[in-house]
Amino acid sequence: MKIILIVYLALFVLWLLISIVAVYHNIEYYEPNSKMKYGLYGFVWASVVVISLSFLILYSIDWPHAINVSY
Amino acid sequence: MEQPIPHHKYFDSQKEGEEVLLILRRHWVVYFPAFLMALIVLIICIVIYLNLDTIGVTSNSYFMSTLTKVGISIFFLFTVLFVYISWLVNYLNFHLVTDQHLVDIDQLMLFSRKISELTLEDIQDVSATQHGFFQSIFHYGDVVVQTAGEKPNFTLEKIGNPYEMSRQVMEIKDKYGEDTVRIVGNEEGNDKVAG
Repeated sequence: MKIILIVYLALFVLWLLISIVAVYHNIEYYEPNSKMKYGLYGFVWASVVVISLSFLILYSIDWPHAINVSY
Repeated sequence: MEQPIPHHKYFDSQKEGEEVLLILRRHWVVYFPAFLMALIVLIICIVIYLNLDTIGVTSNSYFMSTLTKVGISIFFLFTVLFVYISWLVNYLNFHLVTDQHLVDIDQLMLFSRKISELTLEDIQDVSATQHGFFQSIFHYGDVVVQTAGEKPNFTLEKIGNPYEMSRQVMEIKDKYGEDTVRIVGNEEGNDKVAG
């Protein structure tokens, strides 16, 4: 069961890295008076919501039980 | 009221003092498929998460239940990222008309960018087309810029209000494209001034 947690953490780090690259790209080609800032804010806020949801889901798992359980 | 285009370097070969007169972006409809797909995926994930007991995942094995929950939470993250990258790539795919050039900036992928330029004098004709139900309803279509000589034509895809945009491009070409007085050689080998 620990493998699930490790895979989750690995994928989360991957998501974080791709997100940083995408945001960097947004800032690199940033145009004044354009809608790019809305896209950036939208992504940041959506990410905050989704990360919160994701952690809530993970929190709902009974990890001590999950790790000890045989499957 | 339209905002004036601020002074900003939009592409690497933009000359000092080259003024951007018009920016042509894709119509908002192009963002819609990615948003719709993400929305459907998120709804499916939420429905699955709320009905884990009904589906029988929880009762069958705790491993499967945990795997499903973790999978859903990862799916949420990557769906949002997918939508953002899709939006960014489409938004960075645009066309500029400056007082000297028509520039086609193609953002193919996050790390793949292609920039093509055309001088205003090389523009021969600009036409607009709308094909199909959606393009007619939402008023978007392609603007085709025909070029002189062997240079390939420019096709500006899925531009909002294409007829108006093609008219504006042609107006800019008429205003700025003929300003330069070119010296060309005639048959006798003498130079003459062409307007």
